[in-house]
Amino acid sequence: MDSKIRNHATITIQQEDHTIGNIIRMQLLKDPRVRFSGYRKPHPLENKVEIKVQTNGEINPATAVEQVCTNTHEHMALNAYRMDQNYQNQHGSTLGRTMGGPSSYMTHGYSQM
Amino acid sequence: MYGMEQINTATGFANAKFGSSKGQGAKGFDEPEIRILELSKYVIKFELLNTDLSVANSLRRIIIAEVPTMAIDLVEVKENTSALHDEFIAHRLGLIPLQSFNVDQFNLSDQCACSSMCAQCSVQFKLHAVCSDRDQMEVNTRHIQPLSDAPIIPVQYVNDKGIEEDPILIMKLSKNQQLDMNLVARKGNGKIHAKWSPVATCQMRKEPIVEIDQDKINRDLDIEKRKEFVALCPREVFAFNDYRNAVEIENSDKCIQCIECLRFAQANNLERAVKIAEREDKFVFTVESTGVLTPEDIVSRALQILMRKLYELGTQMKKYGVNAD
Repeated sequence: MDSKIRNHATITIQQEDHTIGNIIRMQLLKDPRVRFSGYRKPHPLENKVEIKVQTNGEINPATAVEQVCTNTHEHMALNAYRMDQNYQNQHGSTLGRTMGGPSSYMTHGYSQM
Repeated sequence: MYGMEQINTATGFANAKFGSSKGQGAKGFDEPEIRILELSKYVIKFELLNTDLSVANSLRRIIIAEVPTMAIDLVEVKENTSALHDEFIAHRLGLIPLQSFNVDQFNLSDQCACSSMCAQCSVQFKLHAVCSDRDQMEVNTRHIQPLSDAPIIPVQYVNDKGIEEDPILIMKLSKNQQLDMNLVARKGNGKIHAKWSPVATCQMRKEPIVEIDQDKINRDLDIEKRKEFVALCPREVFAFNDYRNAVEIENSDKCIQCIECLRFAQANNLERAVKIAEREDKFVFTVESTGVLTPEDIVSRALQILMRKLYELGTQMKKYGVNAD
């Protein structure tokens, strides 16, 4: 994955498209340790995206992507928690998922989908 | 069964103690907020704050294309003596929305352990219609008979007053024409075919900011021009106050940024009197379901799917991070 430049990685994700590519790229740009981040979909008929990451050496590019994923995941978990709270406040019933704190949204329900 | 409920919430969320480090700017996120503005049987309107545009767009994409539902996927034609050909009818049958509240219990058909079809991955129906006694007969979704106990049935729409609407018309038969088909419904998502998309529309927009310098407008334009200014907005964002003969902003949320008012102001040398902009950090979503899932369920599942994608990617990257060092 690492090419001739140090701290540089090209990650190819199969079966994904702009949905995930754009998020990862944008969030990587917000990290001050990332020097370069970009993504592309090589061909519209092929279902994969390529993400290029270069860091300034403080962290591994793979670690940078992993941290970005974890942070965004927690961000969305908080969103889901808030949404369920909202719904419960208005309707007095949950959306069928267990409440009990944002941390329960981190790995809940993945087996179903 | 309930009718239209308009719920406006000002603040409905508690402050979750979610971990002190998550509010850092270095991670790129402030605490996100999500507020449900309106909720009815088929439509949900909510807003996202302190979220990046890419996250909001990904949520929109997932709502449209990646929330799984059930739809008719295989049609076995035993008899078709009607005016429409087989694949035409099959196409229409595929587009019929099926209530998918139990869709989680089903597997995708290519991931199911069975050889071709089983109760875990498919739901069977029968469509049998004969026009024997009349000159013309309508075949609608009521003629689709489920062959199993699963609650996957065509959606029955209920309008605002709680009255059931007419069923969806599939086709019409003339005298002595027959239709005999076996239908199989499977799980899928919008990426495979649009018939599996759970929404009619998913609209995402940024909240508009409309500002007018009231003193300038009301001083430099005469009354007729002020009325013209109010009239040229296609969405009636402005209002003319007759008591004070002044232009006021009535509802800035309706603005579609067509900048007609801006052009009018420029033409009349009032360059800085009107400002049209968008709030960069607030997104208003309007999700209209087709009835296959409740709208709040669609949004909730979309959030879960996005979370799962990020989680899986993060787990995979963890392995690479460890190996590279």
